Amino acid sequence: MAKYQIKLKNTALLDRWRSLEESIPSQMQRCKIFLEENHHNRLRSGGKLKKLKGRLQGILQYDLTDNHRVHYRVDTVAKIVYIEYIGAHP
Amino acid sequence: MASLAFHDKIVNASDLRKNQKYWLEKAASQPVTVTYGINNLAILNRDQLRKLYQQSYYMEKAIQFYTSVVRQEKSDVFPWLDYLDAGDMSRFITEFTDAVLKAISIDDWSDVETLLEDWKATAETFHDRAAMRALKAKSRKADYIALE
Repeated sequence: MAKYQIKLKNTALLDRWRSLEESIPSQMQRCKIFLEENHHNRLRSGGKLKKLKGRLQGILQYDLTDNHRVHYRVDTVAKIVYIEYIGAHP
Repeated sequence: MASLAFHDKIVNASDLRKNQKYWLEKAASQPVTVTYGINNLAILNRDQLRKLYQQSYYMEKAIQFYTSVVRQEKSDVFPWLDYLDAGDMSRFITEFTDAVLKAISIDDWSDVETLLEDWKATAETFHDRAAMRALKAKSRKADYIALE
């Protein structure tokens, strides 16, 4: 299966991604591989993937740690994962 | 009714010792009750036991939830439902009810567990102002930055 390209919404989000790559490198590497190869696969996520519901249908959430999560959408035609938000887990 | 659904085989401890292989194989598919003094002890398949626990756990949650709906009270069992609006609350009730009914019929509660995790994450996102601001902000696909 072809890998998906990852794109981030803005430079602030890219900076956040880079910062987390330094503070939690292994989790970020796992997340990157997951988004590129298995972005919809619950089993492969090890319980870290949530598929949002209702008015947020189409947005997926990947839990990086107990404190951090990524929200993203997927364009399956263009094979791109669009990261919309990286933030603290409530 | 419940006693009709629970068909067990009964054996005393001496017979169990004499015919261990027979009774353990029997217990894989049907509960075996061992009479031991004044106690009745059961040997049963671990997967069946896990399913019984799951069923009991989720049925209790479901009854507590429906009670709060009928009484028009906040849900203590799913407190995060408070973050959903009326439309999403209605969608949750429909999906949760369908999932519980399906779980009862196929004796598998994993979809209910997944559904609750997804709705909890949804509700928590609604409650997170920074996340909602980011998700609502419009951006052209061409403006997204590729991760190299």
